[in-house]
Amino acid sequence: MARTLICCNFVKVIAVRGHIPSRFLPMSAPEQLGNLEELVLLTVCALGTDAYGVSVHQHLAEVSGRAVSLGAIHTTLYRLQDKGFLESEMGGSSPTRGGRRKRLFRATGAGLDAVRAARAVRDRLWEGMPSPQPNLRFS
Amino acid sequence: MTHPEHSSLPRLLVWLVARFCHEAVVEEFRGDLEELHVIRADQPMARLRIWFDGLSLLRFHFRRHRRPSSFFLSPAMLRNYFFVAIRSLKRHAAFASINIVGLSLSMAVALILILFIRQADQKDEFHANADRIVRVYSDFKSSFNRNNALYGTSPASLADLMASDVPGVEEVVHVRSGFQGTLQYGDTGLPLRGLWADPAFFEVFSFDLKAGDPATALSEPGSIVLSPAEAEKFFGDEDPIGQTMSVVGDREYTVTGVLARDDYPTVFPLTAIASYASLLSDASQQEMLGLWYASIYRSYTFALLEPGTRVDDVQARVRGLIPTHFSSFENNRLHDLVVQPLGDISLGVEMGNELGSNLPGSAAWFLLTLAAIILLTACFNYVGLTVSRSLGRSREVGVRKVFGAERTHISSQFLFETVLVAVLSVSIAVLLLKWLVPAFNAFSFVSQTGMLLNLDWSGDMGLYGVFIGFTLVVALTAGFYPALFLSRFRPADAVKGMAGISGGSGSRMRKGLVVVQFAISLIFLITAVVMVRQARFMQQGDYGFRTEGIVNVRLFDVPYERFRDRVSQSAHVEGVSGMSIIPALGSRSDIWVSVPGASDDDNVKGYRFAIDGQLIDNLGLTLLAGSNLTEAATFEETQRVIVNETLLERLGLGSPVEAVGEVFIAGDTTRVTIAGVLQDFHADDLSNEMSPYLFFYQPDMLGWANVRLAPGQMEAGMADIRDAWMAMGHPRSVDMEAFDTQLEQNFVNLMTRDMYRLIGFIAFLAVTIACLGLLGIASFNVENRTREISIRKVLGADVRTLVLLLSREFMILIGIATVVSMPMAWILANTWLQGFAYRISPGPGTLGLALFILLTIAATAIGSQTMKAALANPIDNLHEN
Repeated sequence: MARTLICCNFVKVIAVRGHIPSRFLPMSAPEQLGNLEELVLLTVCALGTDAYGVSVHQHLAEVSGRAVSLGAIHTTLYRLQDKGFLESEMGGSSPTRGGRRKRLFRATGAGLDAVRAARAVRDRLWEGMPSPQPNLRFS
Repeated sequence: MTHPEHSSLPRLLVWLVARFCHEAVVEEFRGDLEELHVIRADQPMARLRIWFDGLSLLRFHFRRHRRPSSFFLSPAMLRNYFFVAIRSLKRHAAFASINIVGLSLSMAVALILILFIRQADQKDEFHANADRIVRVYSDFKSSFNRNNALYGTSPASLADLMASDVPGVEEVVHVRSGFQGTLQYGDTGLPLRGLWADPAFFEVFSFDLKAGDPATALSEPGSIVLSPAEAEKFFGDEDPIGQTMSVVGDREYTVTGVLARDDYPTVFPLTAIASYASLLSDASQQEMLGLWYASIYRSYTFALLEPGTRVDDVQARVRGLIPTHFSSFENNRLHDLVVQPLGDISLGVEMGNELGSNLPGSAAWFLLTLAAIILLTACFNYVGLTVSRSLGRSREVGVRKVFGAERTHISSQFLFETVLVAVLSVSIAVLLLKWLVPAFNAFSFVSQTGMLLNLDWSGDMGLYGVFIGFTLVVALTAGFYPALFLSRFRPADAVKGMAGISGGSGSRMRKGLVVVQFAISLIFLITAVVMVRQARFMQQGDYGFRTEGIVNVRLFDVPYERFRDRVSQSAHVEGVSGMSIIPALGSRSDIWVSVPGASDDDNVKGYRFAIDGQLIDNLGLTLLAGSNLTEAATFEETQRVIVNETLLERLGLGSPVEAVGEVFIAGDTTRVTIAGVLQDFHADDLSNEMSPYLFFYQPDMLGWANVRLAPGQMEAGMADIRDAWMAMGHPRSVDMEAFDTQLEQNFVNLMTRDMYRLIGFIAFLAVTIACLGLLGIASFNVENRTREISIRKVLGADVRTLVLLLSREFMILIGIATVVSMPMAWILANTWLQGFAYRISPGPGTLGLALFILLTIAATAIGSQTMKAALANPIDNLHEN
C-alpha cells in the first residue's frame, strides 16, 4: 500500500515536469472540501470583495484564534481555485504593500454550492443533537 | 507603479521568494509579506514570524505554478521543429539555397578527401590474419648516400633468419620487386612489372585464385600468377593455366594461377607474381641475394606471427640479428630493422623503395587539413548568413518564448534546422560525387599510384556511419553559434524588433567571420597562383638543351647503330644521337666522384650518362673547352669523360680550360680524364639542384635514340621512325614520344600541375562560398536599409555615393582580411617553393593578381546588391503599403 503511494507520487512528480501526459495519471477523487478549505472558502465569502492572502490570514486568525501560516493559506486558496470553487484577478495595490498588487479571490457558484452543502451536512447532524439543559440563571 | 525601497523585510527572504517562487506569484507574495509585516510591526517576534510565513510560501509554492512544458526532444517537439524548419527554408528560399549550394560543394570535396584517406587506411585489412602479419623495414646508409634513410625493403636473408632464430614467427614470406621486362606470349608482347614471392604468399595473405592451386602455384621455378586483367590481355577467352610465356632476356614462365580480383585493397602491386624459386634458380641472382647490402634494395620481408606474440618481442630479437648477420660492409651500414604491423604500411612513415601504391601519413594529414578548411569556410558562411538575418527571426523567437518556449526549445529548433540543411546538402554532395570522383581519379597522384577512389559502396556499412557522423559534425559546427545566439533574445526586445539590430556580439561575430573567410580564400588564391606559375615555369622552363623537334625512341634490346642507320635514311630526319637515360625526366644513374686522395666524406654525388658522339651536336649543347668524344675510341679513350661546369666547381678543378686533361675518380676507384667541359644544362627536373654530370662514350649502353626531325615535319618524321622500327622486325611496337610531351608528362611536373589544379579548385570553391555569403549578407543589409537609401536619394544623394556608403563596411572587412592573410600566404608559398631548386620568386604581381581576382568577384557580389538598391525609384520604397 505504502509502495503504491510512493509510486503514485513519483509518477505525479514526473508528470508535473512534463514527461507523462495527464491521461496516464491516477484519477482523482470527486472534489470535496477539507477542513481548512472549508474555513478559507467561508472566509473568502465573508470578506466579500476584499479577500486576498493577508486579509484571509488575518480574518481567520481573529475568528478562530488559529495561527495558520501564510503559505498554508495561499496553498489552500490556489487549490480551491484549481478545483473551481474560487476565481481570482489581480487587484489594487496599497502603500503598505510597497505598491504591489494583490490577488483578489471571489467564490464561484460552485464554491457557494460547496459551502452550502457542507453547512447542510452540519445542520443535519445538528438536528440529531440532544438539546442542552436550559440555563435558567439570569444575571 | 512604484516600488518604495524602504522595505523592512529581511533581504534574504525577499531574495528567496523572488528566486524560488514562480514569477507569476512573486509580486503578490511580496506584497502580502510586506503588508503582513506592517500589520505585525509592533507585535512581539515579528521578525521571526515573518520568516516563518515567508518560508512557508517557499515550501508550498516552489515552482508550483510552472506550466509543464514539453521535453525538448519529445516526439511532438521534434515534429514541430521539422515543420517549422521546412516552413522557414521555404520562406527564405534564397538564403537556404545559398547555404545549401555552399555546404554541398564543400561537403562533396571534403567527402572525397575523407573517403580517399579512409580507403587508404583500410588497405590490407581484409586478410584473415591481418593483425598477425608484420613487415620489417630498414634504416640504412648505402654507399651511394651520405645519410641513412628509411627503406621499406630489408636484406633478403632476413626472412630465413627470422624463421630459424626468432621465436613466435609462424611463417615468413620473401617478396621481391623488380620482376620486369617484356612478357611475350605468341605475338603479344607487353611490358610488365611484377613481384617475386614465396609459396607461403598465398597462405599468409588472403588473396584468392580463381584458377590454379594456391598451395603450389608459386612452388616451382618458372611459375607465374597473373591478375585477371593481365591474363585477359594475353589470353582473352583461352584458359591461361599451363600456358608458357617468355620474358625477354629472362627465362620461360608457366602460368599456374590467376588471381580472383584485380582490385584487392592492398599495398601490393598485383599484376604478376613469379615464384621466388625462379629467382633462386639463377646462380648469379642467388649470389646477389646472399649479400645483404646488395639485396636490400628490392627484398621485402613479411612474417606471420603466432597468435599472442608481441610485436615488441619480435622487434627486439630482429634488432639483435644486426651485429651478427648484417655487419657494415664498405660504406653500407644497416642501422636498424623495424618490425611494422601490416596495417601501418598504408598511411605510415614515408620511406624509400616502398611497395607501390601508398599514401604517406603526412599527405593524409595535408588532405584532411584541406578538407577541414573548406568545410569550415562553408560553416562560417552558414553562421554569418543566419546571424545576419537574425532580425527577421527575432520576432518569431519572441512569440515562441511568450507562448512558453524555453531556451532549449529555441536552440533545438535552430539546430534542427541546421541539421535539415546539412542533410539536404550531404544528399546533393553524394550526388555530386558521381561527377567529382572521376575528375579526382584523373589527378596523377591518384592515378599513377594505383589508389583510384572506388565508388562501389554496396555492403560497406561503415561508410554510412561516416556519412551520418560527417553530417552531424558539420551541422553542429555550423549550427552551434546561431542556435546559441538566436535563443538568447529576450521576448520583449524580440517582439519589439530590437534584438539583432544593434552592434552586439552577433554583429562582431559576423564581421569576424567575413574577415576569416576572405583571409582563407586569399591564402588559397595566392598559393594557387604561385603554384600555377611554378608549374608553368617547370613545364616551359629552359633546360638548356634543344627539345623542339626531338623525338625520343626507346631502343629496348635493339643495337643503337642498327636503328640509327635505318632511321637516318628518312628525309625528315636531321640528326640522331643516343643516350642511356633521357635527361630531365626523373630517371638518373648515380655515380660518386672525388679528386684523388680525398676522403670518403668529400665524395660528391653526380649522374652518369652513356652517350654517342652526336649528342652534343644533336641536343645543341655548348662545349666550353676540350673536345667531343669521337667514335674512334681507343682503349684509353673509354676512360675519358665529358663533364659539366658544376662538376668542376664541386671538385674544385678550376676553369673549364684549365680542367681539360685533369684526372679525377669516378665510382669506387676508376680514374677518368676530362676530355671536354659542357656548359651547365638541366639533366634533372627543376625541383632539384644542378648536379655534376659525367658523360661516357659507351655506344653499347644506349637505351634511347634522340631523333631530330626537320622543323614542321613532326607527323611525317614520326611515321618514318615507325616504319624504320617495323622494318627491323622487332616484336614490340615502337615506343616513342616527342621530347616536349615527355617533359610535360614528367612525374614531378605532373604532380606540380595536379597540385595546383587541386588547390586551385579548392581556392575557387572557397572564394565562391565566401562571395555567396557576402552576397547574402549584402542583400540583407540592403533590404534593411531600403528606407534609408530612398530618403538619402530623395534628399539628393547620387548613385555613386550610395554604392560607396553601402559597400564601405565590406570593403573595410576585405581590407582587414587582405592585411591579415598576405604575410601568411607569402610564408606559405615560399615554404612550398623551397622544395624546388629552380623556382619563381612571387612578387607583387602574384599577390596583386590574387587580390584582383578576389576583389573583382567580391565587388560583383556586393555591387549587384548595392546598385540595385541605389538605382531603385525611392518613391516605391517610401510608399506605405
